[in-house]
Amino acid sequence: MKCEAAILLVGLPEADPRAAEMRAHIRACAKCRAMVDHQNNVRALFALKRYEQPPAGFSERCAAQIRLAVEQRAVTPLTWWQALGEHWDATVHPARLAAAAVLLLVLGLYFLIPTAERPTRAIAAGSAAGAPDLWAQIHLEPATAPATAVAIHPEPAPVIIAADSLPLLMAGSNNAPLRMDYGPGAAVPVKFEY
Amino acid sequence: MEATPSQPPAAAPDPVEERDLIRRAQHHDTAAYEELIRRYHPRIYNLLYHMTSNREDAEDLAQEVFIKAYAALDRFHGASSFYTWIYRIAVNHALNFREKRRHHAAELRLDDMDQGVERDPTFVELRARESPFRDVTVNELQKKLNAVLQKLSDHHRTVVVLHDIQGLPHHEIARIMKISEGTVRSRLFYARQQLQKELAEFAP
Repeated sequence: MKCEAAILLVGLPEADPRAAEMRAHIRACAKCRAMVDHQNNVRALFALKRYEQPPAGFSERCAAQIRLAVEQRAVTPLTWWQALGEHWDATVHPARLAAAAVLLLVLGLYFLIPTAERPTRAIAAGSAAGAPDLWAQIHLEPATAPATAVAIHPEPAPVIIAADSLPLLMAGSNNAPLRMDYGPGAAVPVKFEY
Repeated sequence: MEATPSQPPAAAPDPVEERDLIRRAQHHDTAAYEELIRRYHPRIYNLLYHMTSNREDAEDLAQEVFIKAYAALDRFHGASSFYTWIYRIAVNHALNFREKRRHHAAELRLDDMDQGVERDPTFVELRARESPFRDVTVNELQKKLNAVLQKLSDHHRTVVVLHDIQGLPHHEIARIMKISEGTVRSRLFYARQQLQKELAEFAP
């Protein structure tokens, strides 16, 4: 058994199967024995604090005040939220409450934010009401690689060479589409939207 | 391997009689509940005092704990002992209280330790050593112990108070704090390591 494991087993009940091994280690290990001595010294010092007792008559005074509070409670029962608060305070750890609050927040964000931005419901509602069907206006085409683009647009086209003329932006307009050069004989027309 | 506490915890009350008291208290018999208060009040008070190091706070908190426990008594079904149940309420209440007070300036009151401490064998033995402890007064010792105890985190302080001061066994602390016995031992070890550094002059 290693020192770290043995030292954390100090205080095991005799019946525990690991207790004998822990004791054997500590008997044989001077470092662990010194550590256990330090721990026992601290423990002995704090055991002295048992002598701090409540002031005389305090128990009776406290019992009387509790009796008064209990009787007042019997006359005016708790509201449901007070009872709930007391139940939580008595049985639920604040960290669990915090975790529950975070969970609620996450669930709230999940269900509320997408609802506001989700297009499907609005479109479906619009179609049903005779509004233009936005989905019908959307069609996707598969992306084409440059080589395929050359086959589709085989005609020769002006080529912009980056080294000669800088910016594509200066070389054309929306009415005269530019072509981007991908190498010898490989160019595709490009169009800039502003 | 661990030193035996010089003063054993109070003997466990008769469980049959206690069940009867609890049943009567659940039916709003305030006399039965007062008997439960009488049995547990000193220990709950001490727990809260050592958690706060302040007599007034401990008195207020002890009253609140017993009032809360009375309000929650209907939900006590005997899955654990009454003693574990009320200790758990007291520990949670003390931790909540400290959480609320976290941003306030630490307010440490020096209270008189019962002078019986001077006859305690441990105290006498520590006094006999060649160390600064020889010249320390009971009040100075108490002030030092309270100050270093307040430097611990809440969870480490709780295990030290329950085990080293109140003498509860590891398995009982594990039930009260809803942690494993291994965690109790580990917290005790690290808390004492920290305390030993702070108290090197007294506990070499």
